[in-house]
Amino acid sequence: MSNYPRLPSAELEVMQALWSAPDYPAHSADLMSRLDRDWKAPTVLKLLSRLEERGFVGRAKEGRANGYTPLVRREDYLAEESRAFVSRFHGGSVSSLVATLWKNHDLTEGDLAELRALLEQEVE
Amino acid sequence: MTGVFTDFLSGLVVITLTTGGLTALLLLLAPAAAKRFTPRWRYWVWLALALRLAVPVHFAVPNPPVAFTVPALAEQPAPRSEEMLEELDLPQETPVQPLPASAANGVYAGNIYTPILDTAKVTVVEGGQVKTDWTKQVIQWPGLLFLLWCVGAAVTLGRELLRHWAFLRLCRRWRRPAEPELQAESDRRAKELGLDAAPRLYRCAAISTPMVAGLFHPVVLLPLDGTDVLMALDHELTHLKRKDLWYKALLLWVRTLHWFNPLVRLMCRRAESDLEQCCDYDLLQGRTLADRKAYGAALLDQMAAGCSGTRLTTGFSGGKREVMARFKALLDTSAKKKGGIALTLVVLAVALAGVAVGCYGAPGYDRNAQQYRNPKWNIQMDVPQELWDQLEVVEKTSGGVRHLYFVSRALKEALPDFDLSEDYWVILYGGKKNQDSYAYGCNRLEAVRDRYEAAGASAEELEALERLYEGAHAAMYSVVAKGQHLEAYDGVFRCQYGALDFEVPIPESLWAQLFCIYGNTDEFYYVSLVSSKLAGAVEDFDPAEDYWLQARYWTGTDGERVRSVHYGTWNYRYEVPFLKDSSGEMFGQISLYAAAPDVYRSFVFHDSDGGSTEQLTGDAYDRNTETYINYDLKFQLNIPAEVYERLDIYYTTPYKYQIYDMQCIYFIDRRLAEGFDMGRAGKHPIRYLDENYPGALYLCVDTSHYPSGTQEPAAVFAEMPGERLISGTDLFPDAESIPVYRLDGTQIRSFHPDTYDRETALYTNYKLSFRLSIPNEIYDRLYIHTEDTQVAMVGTGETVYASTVYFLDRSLLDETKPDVEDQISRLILNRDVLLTVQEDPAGEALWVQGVRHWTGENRNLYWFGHWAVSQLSPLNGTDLREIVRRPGSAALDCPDGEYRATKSSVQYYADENALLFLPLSEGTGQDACILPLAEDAVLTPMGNVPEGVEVTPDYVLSSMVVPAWSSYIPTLAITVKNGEITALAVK
Repeated sequence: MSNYPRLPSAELEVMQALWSAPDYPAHSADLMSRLDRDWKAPTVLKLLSRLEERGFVGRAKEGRANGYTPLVRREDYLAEESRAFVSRFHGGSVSSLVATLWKNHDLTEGDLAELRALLEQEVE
Repeated sequence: MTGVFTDFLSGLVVITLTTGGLTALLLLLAPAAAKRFTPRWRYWVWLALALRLAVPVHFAVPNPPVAFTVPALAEQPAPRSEEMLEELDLPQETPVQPLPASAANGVYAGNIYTPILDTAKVTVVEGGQVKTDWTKQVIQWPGLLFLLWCVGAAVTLGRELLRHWAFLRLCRRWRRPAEPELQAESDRRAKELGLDAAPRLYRCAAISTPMVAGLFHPVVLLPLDGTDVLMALDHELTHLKRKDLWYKALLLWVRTLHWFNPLVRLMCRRAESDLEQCCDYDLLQGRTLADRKAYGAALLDQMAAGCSGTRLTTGFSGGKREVMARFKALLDTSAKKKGGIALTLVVLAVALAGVAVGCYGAPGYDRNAQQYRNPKWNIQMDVPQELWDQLEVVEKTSGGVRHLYFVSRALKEALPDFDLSEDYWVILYGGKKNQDSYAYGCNRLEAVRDRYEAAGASAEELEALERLYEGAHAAMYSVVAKGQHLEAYDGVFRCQYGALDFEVPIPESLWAQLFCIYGNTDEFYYVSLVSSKLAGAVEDFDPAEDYWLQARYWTGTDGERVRSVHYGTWNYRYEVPFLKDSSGEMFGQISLYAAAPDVYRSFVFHDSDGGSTEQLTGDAYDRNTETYINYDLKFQLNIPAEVYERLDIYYTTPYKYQIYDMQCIYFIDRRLAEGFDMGRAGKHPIRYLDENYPGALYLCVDTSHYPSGTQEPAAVFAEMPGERLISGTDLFPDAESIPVYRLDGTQIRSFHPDTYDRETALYTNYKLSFRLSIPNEIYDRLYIHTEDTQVAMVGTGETVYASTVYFLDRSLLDETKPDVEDQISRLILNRDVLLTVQEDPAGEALWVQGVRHWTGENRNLYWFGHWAVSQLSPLNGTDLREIVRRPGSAALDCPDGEYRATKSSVQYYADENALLFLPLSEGTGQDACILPLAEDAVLTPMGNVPEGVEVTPDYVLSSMVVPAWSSYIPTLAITVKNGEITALAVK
């Protein structure tokens, strides 16, 4: 069962900007600078208020400006979406049409140790 | 439709099996290859295999060494309504209607054909209610298998594409553009690598390993952290440079097509892992071990970091071995070969493997297309279903020739003496070495009908048989072998066979009686149109001879290709099997044969360069007027019909007809020329006929003498057959005057073997093939005698006869006496001959000998014997043989002194060595004499020779022609000393 509703991509972008902020609460101006879009302030504020409705964002007034804090951790939400993907296409790689640097082969600690040993032992 | 499915599936099967076999082998060899060759080698090998697998189109060589049929890929016969009625135990007379429109009483039967299933249904309605309902279904495997394959392929591809899109969508949601300095670094590196366009970089929270995605607008995705960014960039950009994403897409396609083949899936997995090794290899080229270790360590760190966490992991479970292999490979610094030769061998094996194997659906009948198909032979024939139901197919191979016999099943069962090789309906056969085409048997209704009746066939059965045989012609001509109709008919019959490429319009009514046979004899290749009735009825029927119309080609002795077309003449032995016929017309055969010349006239050969030559078809025989007409050579000739029927007319048109400006037509009596072959007669058919078939040559029309400017024959030459031929002499009672006419009715002069034309002063000898100018007054003094002289062959000493022509002085003979022959012999013995022309017995040369000893008085004749030697020339193009000339040995002296002459006072005849004086008329006080020109003879002009008149000994001796613009009349002063001209003066 899914814990979180699926966020539309615009709202998710705002969330990602929020998650990338170093300090909380973050201000909308700061968020806008972190966004890769040309959205104007009203748009961003609108999105933030929707996120608030969903319970993803908490708003606190700080003087005249608003401060925003994420209420859902990125890892948790990301895990949710990833899990959905994995459960639909379980097994196998994410896609055979991408080229990756490395493939995960469910390596155990022991395997990793073995590989490290391999690297060390190769002497010319 | 079934054919399409069968073709596709059989192609797919062959490709997957042959390439799969190779794949298995290569998978086994892969570890050994890894040790010896670079990873690139495996990259190319898998690529070669993938390319072959990616295109499911298969071409096998004709008659592949390995061939197998897959019965499942053959059309299954659908249930037949007769069977169903029998099973339901309904009486035969029950009226059967098509599938129900309403619930009225009756029996309804119908078939539904789909690519997968054939259904036959019979419903019996009685009393307003359905009483029996009977269904029979037959699965059509080709359609079904194709459907299964489609489903599997669709599922495979669909799943992968969906996954890819879902993944990309997910990544897009979680990605943010990478740091600008990173993008700049990436752009820089991309440029260094030589990439066309630098990809956009993104940080993506959803992934745990760097990756590159997107075939057309690739992007690089980096995880948020834990990455050695620079190393990742190098690696991913290298992937982009190598276009590895396209490689992977190809592998996906291959996996789709061959989803059912586990070897292929295995190969693709291996190929993908080798792809990574290749990328590592390219990156680490030339790097030290220390660098490689660093690379490996960095890689390992990232893997360790990425393994944990919830982010999307890549790769599949199991395969620790793969990781170990990759690490071992990237640490491997040993030198490796490129393995070009081995790779070439593999590519060749891949290419050839498919080609040497043929996979075919079994032969069968396609009910939808109403067509018989044999995929292995690549042959198909249209047969309507109601005819097909009566037939059975028997396949036999003997002597390398494959036969497909189509026989009437009912006949086979009814006749006790049924013989496959005689009582067939149609035969298709082929596979002969010289002809890569198929020939047909003819329908033989006449041969079987009576016997079938005698065996107790009912009237309906006989009718069915007749209808069956009537359909044979159309079936035969629907045959498409190797994708081509061998010939085509649409009012015009078109055919291509070897060097023969032609078309000829044939009326439908004639065409229905004919069929086409290809073949060859020892001498030529032919396409014969024959009468099907005759072919079936005449026992020793030979399409090489018993044709109605035939086109031939052969290679002549000079290597030139000769094409010819002939129409058949009625042969008396054709009458034999038809004697029972009361119509007198012998089943329309006479009319058929009478129509042949008309068709022949419009025959057209196509030239190999695309042009077409109008066949010189201008000859025909008009039975009403009993006239033979030749439109090309423009003459006509009366020949009685019964004579004409005995004649074979040989008319050859060389391919390059400019070489010989002669056309010859030979009329040869077939009865006396049994076994005669024009091809063998070579260049001298007349002599060949004389020697081997005496009397057979009826008439030869040699058209080599056209009056200049016209294209009409000036001479017609008839070799008289002599008394041996009964009717020949009736035709030509007067040997000097053979009634050959021009097309406008005027008679063409005809000549005996040698002729003299007074107007042109030209003597032509056809027998020895030469011509010679002889002035009239000389000719009148000559006696020309021809005989076969005994000569000894040089070298062997063997005595043979050689045709010889002797030119004698008539005044030395007394023609009133009866012993003229003796007189002639004496003269010849004494060598008292002016000119001798003799044929070399081997036929390669003509010997000309001038005057040797002469006792006559007329010096003009003496001159002739000397001068003619150089003047004699061969007939144009007839015989290109050598003329060996021996001038005369007898001398004719002129006394020393000075001679003067102008052209009007003396006749000059000269060659390059001598000048002959001949007095214009007797009594000028000067005899004829021959004056050889001394080698150091001096030529001096006397007085003024006008400008432009060139004076040389040749000029003087041979021409004495004055330019038109000049009024100069030369006078010649000749000084003779010791019988030679020592000085010439011209004034």
